[in-house]
Amino acid sequence: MQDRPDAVELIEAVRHFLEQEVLPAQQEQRGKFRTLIAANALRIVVRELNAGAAPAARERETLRALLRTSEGEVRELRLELARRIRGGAADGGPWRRAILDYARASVEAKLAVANPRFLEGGNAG
Amino acid sequence: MSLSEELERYLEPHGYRLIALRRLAGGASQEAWLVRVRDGSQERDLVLRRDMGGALSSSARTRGEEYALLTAAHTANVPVPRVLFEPLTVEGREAFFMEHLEGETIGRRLVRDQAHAQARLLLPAQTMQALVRIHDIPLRSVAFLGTARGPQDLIAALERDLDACNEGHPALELGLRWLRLNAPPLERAAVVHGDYRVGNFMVGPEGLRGVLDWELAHAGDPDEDLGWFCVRAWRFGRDDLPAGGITTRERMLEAYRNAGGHAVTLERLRYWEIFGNVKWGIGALTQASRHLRGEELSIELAVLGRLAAEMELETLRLLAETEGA
Repeated sequence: MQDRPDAVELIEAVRHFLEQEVLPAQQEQRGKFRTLIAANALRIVVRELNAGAAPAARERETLRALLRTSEGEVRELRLELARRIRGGAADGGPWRRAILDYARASVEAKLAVANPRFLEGGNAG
Repeated sequence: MSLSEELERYLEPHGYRLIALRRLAGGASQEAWLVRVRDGSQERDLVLRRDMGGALSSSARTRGEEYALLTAAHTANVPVPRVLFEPLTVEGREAFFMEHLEGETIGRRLVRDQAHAQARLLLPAQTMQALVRIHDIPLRSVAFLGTARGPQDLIAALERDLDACNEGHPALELGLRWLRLNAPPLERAAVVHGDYRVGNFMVGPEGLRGVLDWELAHAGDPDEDLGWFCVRAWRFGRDDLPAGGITTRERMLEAYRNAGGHAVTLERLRYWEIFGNVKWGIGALTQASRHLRGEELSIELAVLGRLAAEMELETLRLLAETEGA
């Protein structure tokens, strides 16, 4: 067990440094823009750490059920599902509904970390 | 020899002395530099565009081709920055100089700021007129674009780009599959700009000053440009105005028609809007993979890997709307 600051607190300290010290020192638009992107990347990391391992575990179980398998991790299962969709396996029927529901939930879980404002109908971009 | 030394040598015979060099926010497959030069007793700015290592996708144009496209567009009365001199090679990479246009390009500001309210009223008609003129550029004058490719060919290219990322993206695959099954036949072949949207227009109070960023131009279905114009990412938050955050889809199509363009149905536009979202989703992943492979380490490219999910969500939303109807 590490002492404080913990991982999230350390990242927040770096983000504070970027926003309060690095950003005002940028003379040019390009430098300002990149500093803001870097600070935003740290916000993404903090949301991901706070979400923990549960979302990935849920997605793994959903994928295993869809693909009727008891093994495999999210990365390889997504690849297998992608391959089957491209082959036409989700063109229609009840499986299509299940795949669409999975895809929606998976993308929403990704955006809850990457850009929650987009999920609310806004656009941080 | 450094970049500035090479440019100094190149510019000298043209009567320009190099004063300063500043990197601009570039595109995906090229970099841009603002080049301050002295021309006799006056100083002026030029823009240098130069190829970068790697490419956005399998279809990105070289700078030599972009030079030729800007020339053809100018001949067709499309407002563009004028190219200068001849294409050159800098540090082993293709490049060219063009004039520097003043104005605003940042989409977020153009669709929101009060300062651009007047321009927003003018832009729909102006951008559609320019687009009709682009689509009327004779393909034989830009023969390097090759034979016009229909949707099936474009989808195959997108699948290859996605496969190169080596990650499974079921939402994008659902989009690609729908595009495969619903692809319209190629009815007319035209010069397609390939990145025609708010954010790639230089704008002043009088509206459109120049159409920029021709690096994704190709020969294909002109409707692709109209669908791309409506992709959610290019509304910069103004989702109440689906066509680029400046107008509605209906009024955009009407402006295109009024400028002499062909009639496009909303259904046909929908196809290309879905195509655009899938294409930009894969484009974002492709750019992120350039960072991940170490081809170009960049925080801007890296975060695009996470933002691809925005296009995935919009693709699923549009599919649900279309299938529900």
